[in-house]
Amino acid sequence: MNPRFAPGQAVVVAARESAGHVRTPRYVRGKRGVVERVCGVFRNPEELAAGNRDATRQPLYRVRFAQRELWPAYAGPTGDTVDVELYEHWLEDGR
Amino acid sequence: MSNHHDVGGAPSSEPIDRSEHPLLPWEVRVDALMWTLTDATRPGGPQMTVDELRYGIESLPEADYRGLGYFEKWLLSMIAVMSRKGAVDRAALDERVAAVTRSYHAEHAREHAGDGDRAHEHPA
Repeated sequence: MNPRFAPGQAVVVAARESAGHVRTPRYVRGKRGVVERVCGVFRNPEELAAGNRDATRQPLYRVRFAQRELWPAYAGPTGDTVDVELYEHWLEDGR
Repeated sequence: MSNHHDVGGAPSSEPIDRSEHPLLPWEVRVDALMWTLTDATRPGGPQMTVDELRYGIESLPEADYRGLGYFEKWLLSMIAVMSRKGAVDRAALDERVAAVTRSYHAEHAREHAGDGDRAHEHPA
């Protein structure tokens, strides 16, 4: 499975709600970030958590967010960032 | 599903406890059990995945999620997952826990009786 996004590319995290186990914390949903690296392709943890042994595979990315993007009232240096690892089905093209 | 486990960014007045806690023997056992259950080299594949463990922890009632310790939550999740798969007989487990609890209290009562005797021999 070829990753849809490349390092340096802008992405937006899907703002959707979720049920069951997901690895996408709410504080990044709907936020804009940049792909820092492609971590590899792994079995979808949402399906694994439901006991599915034939879980599909998804590319996993390390996405970098500006602290100010996540926390508008962030008082630290402007350049501060947070990296969050997110699966491809949670990401949209941010260009 | 409730979102009480998704606490990233939630304000808190509680300071973060950064101290290291030495593991108790039962916690090491819980960890070993999880490694055994998730062993990918086991014939037939692993009995459960770390994702099922996480989902089980997130599915705990909010009071348990906030109040229990790290390995307590692991253990409750493992019991829930393995009971659902039929690998753990919940009734037998509950019976065994009740028996161990009874014997613990009986032992504890004897120790206290002993404390009383020693207090007489060695007054403070």
